[in-house]
Amino acid sequence: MSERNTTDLRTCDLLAAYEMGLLDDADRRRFEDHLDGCDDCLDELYSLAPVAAALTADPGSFAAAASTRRTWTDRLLGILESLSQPRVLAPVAAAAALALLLLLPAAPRWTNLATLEPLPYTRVNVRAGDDQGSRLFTAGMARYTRGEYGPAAEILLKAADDLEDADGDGLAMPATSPDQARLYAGVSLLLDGRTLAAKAPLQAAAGDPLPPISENARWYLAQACLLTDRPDSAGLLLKALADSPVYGPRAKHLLEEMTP
Amino acid sequence: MSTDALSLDELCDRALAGDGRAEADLFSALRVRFLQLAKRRVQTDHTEDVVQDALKIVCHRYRERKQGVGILVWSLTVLRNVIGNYYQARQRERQHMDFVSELPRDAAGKDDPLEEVMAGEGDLAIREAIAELARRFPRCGRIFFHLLASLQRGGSTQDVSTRTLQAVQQEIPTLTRNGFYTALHRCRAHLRAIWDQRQGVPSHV
Repeated sequence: MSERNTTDLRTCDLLAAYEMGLLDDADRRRFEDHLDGCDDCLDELYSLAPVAAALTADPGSFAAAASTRRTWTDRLLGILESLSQPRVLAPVAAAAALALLLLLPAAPRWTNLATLEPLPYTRVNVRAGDDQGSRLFTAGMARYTRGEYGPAAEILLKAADDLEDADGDGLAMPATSPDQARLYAGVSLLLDGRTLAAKAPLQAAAGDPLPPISENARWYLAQACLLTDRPDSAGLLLKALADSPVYGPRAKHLLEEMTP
Repeated sequence: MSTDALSLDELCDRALAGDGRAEADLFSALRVRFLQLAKRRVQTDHTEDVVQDALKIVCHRYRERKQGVGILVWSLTVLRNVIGNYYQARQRERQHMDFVSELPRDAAGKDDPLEEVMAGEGDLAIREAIAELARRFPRCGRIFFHLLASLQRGGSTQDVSTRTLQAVQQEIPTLTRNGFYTALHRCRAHLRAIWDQRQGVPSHV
C-alpha cells in the first residue's frame, strides 16, 4: 500500500460515511470536490464499491455478522501456545531418543531451512492514533525500518501493552492493533538473534483473526521453530499456511524440504 | 438554480425527475472520475472505450438501481465490472492465440452489473468479512451493527446518520460527530484489509 498522497486527511475521514450515504448534502458536495484532486480516496472508493453497494442495498442481512463477538480466537491461541510447551520425556523415552541420535544418520539441519528476512512495512498516515500505544508503535517502526531491531523490539513490546489497554477503554481509536505491534516485535527479536524471546509475541499475533497479521506471524513463528530445532511445530504452522495466497507456495516448498 | 453546486446524488435525483441538464452534468462528472480511474488500470488506447462502455451501462440502468446506494458508489461497481470484463476478454484472446481449447468462464454476458456482487456467494463473502472484522475489532463490529441497523430502518441520510451516532454514543458517551467519522474510517480500513486478503490481494499489514 502506498503512503497516502494527500494533504487533506480530515476530508479522507468522510470516505466511509460517504460510501454508506451518511453525509448531508453539504458534506457530500465537499467530499466529491475533494475526490477531484485526491486519487487515493477515489481509488479507495473504487476498490470497496461492491462492498459498500451491497451493504447499503441490503443492510439487514449483514447486521448479524457485524455483531459477532470474538469466540474462537482464544481457542486458537490456546492451541498455538500448547505447541511451545516444553515436553517432559519419560526416562525410557529419553534413552530411546538418545539411542536414535547416536545410531541414526544426522538429522536434517532445520536451522538451514529457516529463512529470515525483514517483514516489509510501509507507513500509512491516518488521523486516528493520538494515543500512547500508537505513538510508541510509530517510534518502534521507525527503528525497525532503520534496521535497529533490538531497540525496535523493546519499544514495540511496550506499544503492544499500551495498545491492549487502549483497546479495552471503548473510546480510543488506535492507529494499529496490539497484535500488529507484537508481530513486528517478534520479527525484530528474530532478526536480532533472540529467537526464543520472539516466540511469545509471534504466538499471540498468530491467533489474530485478521489474516494479514496471523499469516505473517505464523510464517515467522515457523522460522523460529526451525531455528530452535522444533520441526514438528514448524510443520504444523506451515501446513496451516498452505492455502495462504501469500505464503502458500513457500510453505509447501519448505514442507517438501523438511520431508525426509 | 445552477447544477454546479449539487452533489452527484442530487443531480441524479433531478435527472430521474426528467431534468435533462442535470442528467448531462451527472454523466459529465461521472466520465471525469471514470477516466481518472481507468487510465491507471487499462492500456491508454483502450481507456476511452472502457469508460464509454461503463457510461452506457450506467445510462441504461441507473434508474433501476436499489434505493440507498449512492450513484457514484453504484457507478463504480459498473466500472469495476467493465474493467474486469476487459481483462477477461484480453485473457481469452491470449488463450485463443496460444491455441488453448479450455472454455473460459464467461462473465462478460451478464446484463446486470450488480448481479455478481449480489449473488449468494458475494453476500457470503461480505458477511464473513464483516464477521471477521467484528471479531478482531469488537468496537468496529458495534459501529457497523448500529449503522446497518439504522440503514435497515430507512429514512433520510440525516435520519440514518443521527440514529447511528446516537446509538454509538450510548455505548461511547464522549464520542463526537467528527470522532465518529474518524472511527468509521478506521473500521473501513480494517474491513478493506480483510476484504483484500479474501480477494487474494497480497498482504499489506
